[in-house]
Formats: sequence, structure tokens, C-alpha cells
Amino acid sequence: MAKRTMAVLSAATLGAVLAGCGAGSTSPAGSGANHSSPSAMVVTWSSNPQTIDPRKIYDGEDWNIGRSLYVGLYDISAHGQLVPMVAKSAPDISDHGLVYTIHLNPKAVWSNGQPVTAQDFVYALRTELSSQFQSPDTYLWWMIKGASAYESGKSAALGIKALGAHTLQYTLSTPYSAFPYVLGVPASFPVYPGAISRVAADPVTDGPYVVAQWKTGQSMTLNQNSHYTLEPRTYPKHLQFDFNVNPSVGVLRVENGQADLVADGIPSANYQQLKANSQYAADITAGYQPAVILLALNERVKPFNNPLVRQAVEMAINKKHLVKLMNGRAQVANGVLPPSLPGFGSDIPNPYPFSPTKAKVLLKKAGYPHGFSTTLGLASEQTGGSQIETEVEADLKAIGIQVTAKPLPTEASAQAQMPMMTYSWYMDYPDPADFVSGFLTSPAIVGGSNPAFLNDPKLDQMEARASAMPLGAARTALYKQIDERAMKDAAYVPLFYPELTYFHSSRIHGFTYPAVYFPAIYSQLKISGN
Amino acid sequence: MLRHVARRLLWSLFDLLVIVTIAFLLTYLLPGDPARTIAGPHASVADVARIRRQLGLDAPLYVQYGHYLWNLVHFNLGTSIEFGTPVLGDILAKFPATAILAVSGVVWELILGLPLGILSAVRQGGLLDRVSSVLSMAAIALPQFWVGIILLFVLAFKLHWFPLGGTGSPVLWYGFLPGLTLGIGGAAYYQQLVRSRVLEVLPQQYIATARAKGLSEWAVLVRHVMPQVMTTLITQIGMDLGYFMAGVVVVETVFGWPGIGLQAWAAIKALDVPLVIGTVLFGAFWIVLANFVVDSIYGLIDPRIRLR
Amino acid sequence: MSAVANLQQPLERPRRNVSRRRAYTTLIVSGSIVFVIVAVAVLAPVLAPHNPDRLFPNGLSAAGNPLGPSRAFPLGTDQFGRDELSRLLWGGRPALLISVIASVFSSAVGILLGVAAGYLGGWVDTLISRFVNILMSFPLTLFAVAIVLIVSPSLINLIIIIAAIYWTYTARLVRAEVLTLREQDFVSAAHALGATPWRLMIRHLMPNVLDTVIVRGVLTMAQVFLLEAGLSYLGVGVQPPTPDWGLMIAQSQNYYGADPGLVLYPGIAIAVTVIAVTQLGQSYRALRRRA
Repeated sequence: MAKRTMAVLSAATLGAVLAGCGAGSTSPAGSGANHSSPSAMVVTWSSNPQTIDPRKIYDGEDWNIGRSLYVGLYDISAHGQLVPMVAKSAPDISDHGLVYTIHLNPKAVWSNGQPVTAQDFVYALRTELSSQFQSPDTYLWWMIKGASAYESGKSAALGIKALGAHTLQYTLSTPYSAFPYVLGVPASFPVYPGAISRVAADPVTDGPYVVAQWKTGQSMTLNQNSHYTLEPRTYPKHLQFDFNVNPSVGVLRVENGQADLVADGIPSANYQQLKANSQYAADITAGYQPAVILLALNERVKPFNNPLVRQAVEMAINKKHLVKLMNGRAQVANGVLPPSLPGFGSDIPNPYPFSPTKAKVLLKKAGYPHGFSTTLGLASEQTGGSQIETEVEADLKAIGIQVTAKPLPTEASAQAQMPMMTYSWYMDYPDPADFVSGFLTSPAIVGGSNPAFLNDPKLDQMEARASAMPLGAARTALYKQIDERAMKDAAYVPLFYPELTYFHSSRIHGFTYPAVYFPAIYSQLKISGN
Repeated sequence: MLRHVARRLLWSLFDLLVIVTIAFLLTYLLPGDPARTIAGPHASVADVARIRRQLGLDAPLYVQYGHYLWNLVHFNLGTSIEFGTPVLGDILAKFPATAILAVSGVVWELILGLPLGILSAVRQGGLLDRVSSVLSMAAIALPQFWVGIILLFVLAFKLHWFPLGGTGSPVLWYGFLPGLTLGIGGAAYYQQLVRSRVLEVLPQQYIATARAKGLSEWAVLVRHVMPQVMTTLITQIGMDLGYFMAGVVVVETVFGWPGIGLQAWAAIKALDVPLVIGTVLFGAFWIVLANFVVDSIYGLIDPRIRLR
Repeated sequence: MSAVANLQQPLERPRRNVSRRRAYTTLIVSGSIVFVIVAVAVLAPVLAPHNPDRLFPNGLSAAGNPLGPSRAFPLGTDQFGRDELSRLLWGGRPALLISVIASVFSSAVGILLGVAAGYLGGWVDTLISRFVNILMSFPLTLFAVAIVLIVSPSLINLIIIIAAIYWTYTARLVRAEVLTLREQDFVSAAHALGATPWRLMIRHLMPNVLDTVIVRGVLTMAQVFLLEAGLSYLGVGVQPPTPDWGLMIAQSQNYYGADPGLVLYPGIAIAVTVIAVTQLGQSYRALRRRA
């Protein structure tokens, strides 16, 4: 999924203060004495959930909250394996990879005691893809038979049906080997049709938790779902999310024992001091996120329609220095496929390595010997937003390009006019197809997920071939070639693969490094002494 | 008397009408297509056209203005782009927190400003007078968010005296620092105001008479000086309450205090223009109301005002 | 922001019983401080050791953190590896520019409309006073933020918005003053001698309210300075990478523990400027009143 993601440090700054813990004097983070409840895990987040309806869940902490309330057919393990949840076992694949039949686990029940049925999944998908519903997740389902005609309201036929209460069948329009992974993302979770009016605020759920209280813009409390049996009930009895908390204040709260986790990760300002404090060694969990942060250079707006200008921009940007600005908590990116993607990370060479002098020559060749002025659209809550803004403005100024940063407008038509913008892609499921078909070869249309309007028919053909190939080395190699070819175009300038560093109280255990976007699966955590 | 109040009321209503008109022009005449925004990034051209019709955005300006007023009379301030909920509902849901903060801000202004003002006037030129003059000068000159950041860091984090932002129970404990931050600038101003007012009153003839009657210095202060000071202060308190009710964006943002200011700030980040403008209107309403009440009370206390 | 609301009439009311000498000393001291601040801002390109926007490759520690003071960077660097001293020297420019221009504009508009309202009275007064009242009824910070949100936060837009709000305070004061002046002999004398209303307003009334306007203008500068810092803090004021004190605090606010200077230096700079400007205005008034 793209854009709106974790706010590690947004350009427009939120709330308050600061870090700084007198090293030595402090006890391990949140030793527990101050916690209001020993059985509640408190999570701070700088933002607010957009929705808790799984059919609309798109990004941010929404994913983790969604996974706390619901489970789908499968989970994706830390190693990228499919783990059956509501499904009894792996799907039966027939008809040359076009038909997926899945048997449901009769033990899966809703929080009101009713069994989870195949009809619930059918209902969820048919409503999610309907034109009135306006889900941002429809792009995930492009391979379902009849999806596009159904979405535009031209046809009622859709490739999903229930064969009895506990058998579900998906039909695809084209073979797509990564399809079972799609059945692990929140957008594939079922909803309970019998209480659909409650789905937005107080839903009947089939996951580890139910909503106990939600004060919009302030906090949300979840209680264990007593009907849930798909995972051992060793996870915290209650989850409490505090919203609109500046991440730096969140860190202080964890240090003072008033919170257990900062969902945003550790801000740069606090990182050094936490890292230097040996007491916290066990309370910091880090890993590369399966994500890539990029600059999108709009091929439809002058002067970025000129490939030489795009190449000059990539050559001018000092990605290494940018990574240093992020306290080294990122890895320089040369392609879109992140190295943490299990088995797929493509370590391709940068076709336009850093060289301001060569960049100037290219600009001259392109007809801009004195540079030009342009605008950089900053996605809201962009990971590393202020660092990217500062670095790009300074680097491009050095080759004569004057950059003015502006918040990225929310309207698609206005975005299409934006010459240059930050863009990020967070993995939905551990397969390169998610990145490639998700934005690189996504149709170059206004309102699509390809904001640079990269349009290369050869690339599309390669992608069509790769996505149908069986999972394995040959497919991996082809995706690497796709990445390499796309990068030569320089419509997307990959900047870095971000690292997510969590700071949590020492009483919380069980963090595993996530293979997918879920940074924290709360039902896999434990509170010690509880 | 009643005529005076009625006239004020009519003027206040007129003010509100003009304010509403300015807000209307801000929302509808400036760039940005509300239909497109509401339709969302995935909408088709046809969807946008449909929503335009639904919203009446293809109608002439005066018709739209009519709609806007009609909606306002029915307490409809529009729909939030981010949440898709009625703006007024969102504001009213957050208003209690802002009201608590506003009241505690005024309480802090009085707790700090009143005694310091009186004492520094009584002992004019003394140590307390000098110290409080310097402090009030600094308190007025420091940016509010800077004060908040430092209070939060020192009192909440280092000394563990208060919670680190947010709200909870008891609310007075959570509201302590935000209220203090809000009130500190005003307290400095109250100190200066009270000090100068007391200095004006003290040399008056009736004070000397009271003293001559053998009243203690304390009794003179309470019985003769305080009423004068309070008459001056009452206007200021009323206006401050109005301004604070109107939303204290910076303080609420620094402390993550869940009031209408923090909500407006989140709306600003989400470019949710209807919610921002709605909050501006709501705030303006409070200020107009405060103006009206203060003027009316003032008319009661001081009949000369009525003649104007 | 309510602190600003609080400042609306504040600082000028306290009539301090300061001796003339003390007022004079304050005037000299605060005047010199203001002079130095303005001089530093104007001469920043000459005084600053480095380009304030330059990201120094050696400006960050190996772990990517700001550096402490050194010979190359006398006040250390900020979190982007830029020279803190250079940014501090440059950082007063946007706020000074905004506050000076906005205060000149709001004084000019305020004196014109204030005199017109006070002297002409009747429907002119009603119209202007109503308009002043209405503009003052908008919650200041939020109103400014809402407009900036719609028109984009360029320097010129900021100046226009702030001037458009602040002229009301001047106008209200001037009107009140003119109302009392109108009753005085020299006005009726001029009137009796056949002076036209225009001539009367420009030749007789305006010079008499000029002192009030100057003092008000100086105080407006101080308030605008704080308002600008608040807007930058909220992300709708001066935009990065422009060095600006308010924005510097906003961008580095979380470094209070790791590198307190990044928060303290610009905070102190703002406070000193605001105090000096305020004192300059107040001592000037004290002297004129006694003169």
C-alpha cells in the first residue's frame, strides 16, 4: 500500500517534547510500578485510526488494530509462510491456477458465538468492491474474475462464491501465484453481515479482541474476545491505544512507565539517548521494514517529461547522507524491492550513481543550464518527511534546481499536476508482485497508484509473465529484471528502505520481526508476570 | 437597561451573520473542489459530477449561500472530509475538554496574577515587585509552545509530578500543566493590570478615609480596593474565557489535550477544510457571545456605557 | 493562540510610575538591543560563518546526531548537519521582516480608518467599528491557520493575513483617542476657521494620534513576532529550509534532552527580541506622556 504511513517525524511537527533520560539513574523502561493496570498494554500513536472496518483498512496502525479485531483465512508468518487461521488448510488450487477452494475451520466463531461462514467472506468482498463503498483496497483484488466490471457496476458477477457454509471458492481471471497471500491482508477479512450497522464503531469480530470503548481522537480500549480460540489466549487482556501522542512524548511515557509501546517507532531525537542507555538494550527492537520510500517524478509535467532531467535528479541526491540524517536507521535503495522481502530483495546497481557534477552536465544537455524551479509534494505523515525535504531541497539546489515543498493535496487531479512528490510503498504481502503490479506497472491514470505515470508496455508484458509463473528462482530473477528496467527510466527515484525501531516497556515480550506490514501482532505479545 | 441589552443582542446577531458570510466565502470561493475532495482519490469523473449536483455546487453563488445559511439555521456546519461525520457533532464531542481547559486557564490567570499584582502594588519597588515584573515580562515574551514543552519535560518527565500529556482521571491532575501553560501569559498580563489598577486606587481620598477610621491594611484591601480591581478584571476574564473556549490550538497540541483545538490541528494536517472552518465559526460564536455578555454586564455596572 | 489574544491590549495599559530617568535608561538599553538584533539580521549574510542551508557532510556524528560546539561550528550543528550559529544569525530575518511590514501596514490602515471613524462618526463610524468588531471576533490563531491553509503559506501571504488582522487594534485605539480630541479647543478652532474635514483629519488629528500609533505599532511588532513563531510551530508559518527562530524550535523541539541548545537558543532569541521591542514601546510612551 502507498503513502499515509507511520509518522516517525513529520515535516509539520506535532506536539511536544523531548527525550533525555539521565543515563544510569533510570530503571528499565516501565518497570511496571506505575502501570494503571497490570493486564492492559498501553500503546501510543501520533495519529488516529481512519477506520476499523477491515474492508477499508489501508495503512498505519489501522492494520495492527484490524488484526487485533479480526482474523482472515490466513496469517503470514515472520518468515513469509502462510499460516491457516479461519481456513482449515492451504487452498486447493485447480483449473491451471485459476480456481482456489478453501475449507473453513468450524472452530472459527464470531464474538457473538455464531460460526464464521463462507457467506460472510462473500458478503465482505462483494460490498468492499462495490462502487458505492469506495474502498481504497480494491487494487488488491484486480486478479479476481469479473472484478473490474463489478467495481464499475456493469455486472453483478464476481469470482467468489460459497459452496455451503464452510467451503469458499475464488475464481481468478488470470493465474496469480501470490494469490494466497492476498488472503492474509486485512482487506480480505470477513465481516458479520447480521450486525453490519455496528461495523464502523463497535463491530462483531472474529479475532483476538473486541472493542470495549472508542473515544474518537483520544483513545481506544480493546478487551479479549472470549469466543476466540484460534490462538492461545496468552496475550494481554486489554489493549489501550492513546491517539494523537507525539512519538517523543510516547517515548517519555514508556520510560516513566505510563505506556508500553510507541507505535510510531523511536524518533531521531530520542534514538541516540535510548540506544546509549544499556538498561534499555532489551527494550529496543529493530529491523528493516518491508517498504521502500521514493521520489516520484511526474512524467506528464515539464521538465520531468525529459528523461535527462529525471536522471540528473537521481544523480544529484545524496542518498547516503539522507540515510545518515535518519540516524543510519535505513538502507540506501537502488530499486523498489526491499532486501527484507524474503528471498526476493533485489540488490541491483544504481544506474545513475551520485554525482552532482555529472548531474549538472545532464541538466545542461536537457536544456536547463541554469536549472529551474519546481515543487515537491510531501505526503502527510511521510516516514522521514522532514529529512527527505531537507536533503532533496539542499541537493537539488546544488545543481541549480529550486525546490519548494508543499503538503501533497488529497485530490487526485491536483496530485496529477504535482511535478515531484514523495511516495512510499509498504508491503501488503511478501511477494514482489505486490510492489511491481501495485505501483510500478499499475495503469498510468489519474487517481491510480502510479503517481509518476511510468508507462512502459514492455514492463507490463514482463510483469504479466512473472506474476503467472510458479513461485521460485526463475520468477525471482524475472522480477529483478523488471526492477532494473524500471529504474533506468528514473520516473521513480528510490531513496531508502526504512528501518522501524520499536521502544517498548520491559514487561512486554514476543516481538518478532514482521515479514509483512503488520509491525506488531498484539495477539502474539505477552505481558510478563501476567 | 433592557433596551441596551436588546440592542447589543441585535448587533451580536448581525456580527455573526457577517462572520458566517466570510466563512462561506472562505469555503466556497477559494481553490479546491469540495466534490472532488469528498469523492476521494478513487472516484470517477461521473461520481464527482454526481456529488457536485448533490451538494448543489453547480448552482449560482447566491443559491449556494442560501443553502449554507439554511443549513446553519438547522445546526448543520457541513461534513468532515476525513471522518465523513457532521462537523458540529465532532466539535461538540470535543468541546467539554476545551471548556475544562479554558476554565482552568482563567483560574490560573487569577491564582497567579491577582495576588502578585496586589502584593507588588502594595510593596511597590520591593523585591517581590521587581521579581514579578521581570517574570511577567518574560512570561509574555516566551512563545506558549516553548513554555509548554519545558513544563512537560521538567515537571512531568523529570520530576514525575504530572502525567505526560493526554487526559484521564482525575481530570484536574491531567489538566494541571495544560491549564498552567494556557494561563501563564494571561497571568503576567493580569499581574500588570492589577498592579496598575491598585496603584491608581490607593492614593484616592476614600482609601485614606478608611485607613483613618482605623481599618487594617488587609481590610482596606479586601473591602475597598478589591471591588475596584474586580470591576476592571471582569471584562478581561469574560473575554479570555471566550477566546479560550474558541479553541487553544497550540496548548492542546503540545499536551495532546483532546479538545476542539487539537481536533482542528489534526484537521489542518488532513486538509479537512470543513472541519477547520467549522471550528473557526464555533470559536467566533464564543467570542461574540463573550463580547455580548461582557458588554451587558458592564452596562449594568457602569450606566454611563449605556448612554454611548 | 490565546496568549496572543491576551496581548491584545495588555502591555500598554499598566501606567507605571516610572521616573523619567528610568524610562530614558530603558529606552536607550532596549533601543540598543533592538538595534543590534536588527543589525545582526541585516548583516547576517556577512556575519554568518557558513551558508545556513548547507548540509555539512561532517556536520553530523557517525551515528547521525547533531554535533556540539567546535571551532568549525561555534554553537554546534542541528539535526540536519547545518551550522546552528549561522541559522541563528539568519533566523531573525523572516520574523522581523514580517513583523515590521505587517505592523507598518496595520498602523497605516488603522490610523486612516480610526481617524475617519472617530471624527466623521455617523454611518462611517458604525461601519468601521462593526467591521473591527467582527474581525476581532475570529479566533486569531485558528483563523490565520485556516486562511494560510487555503492560500498557501508564502511570506507575502503571511504578511497580508497578519496585517489584515492587526490593523483593527490600532483602529480601535485611534478612534477612542480621536473621540476625546474632537472635543478639544484646537479642533473646534480649526473647524471654525473653515478647515475641511479632510484637512482637519490629516493636518490636525493624525499628528496628534501619531504617538499612540507608533507605540501601538511597536507593540504589534512584538505580538506578531510571537504569532509568527506559533504559526511556524504549527507548520503553517515560514517554510523549511528557511532559517527562522520559531521554525527552528518546532523542528528541533524533540531534541530538548539530546541537544537542549537547539531549543534554547532560538527560544531565548525570541524572548529577548520581544522583551526589547516591548520595553522600547513602553518607555517611549512613558517619555512622551511626560514630555
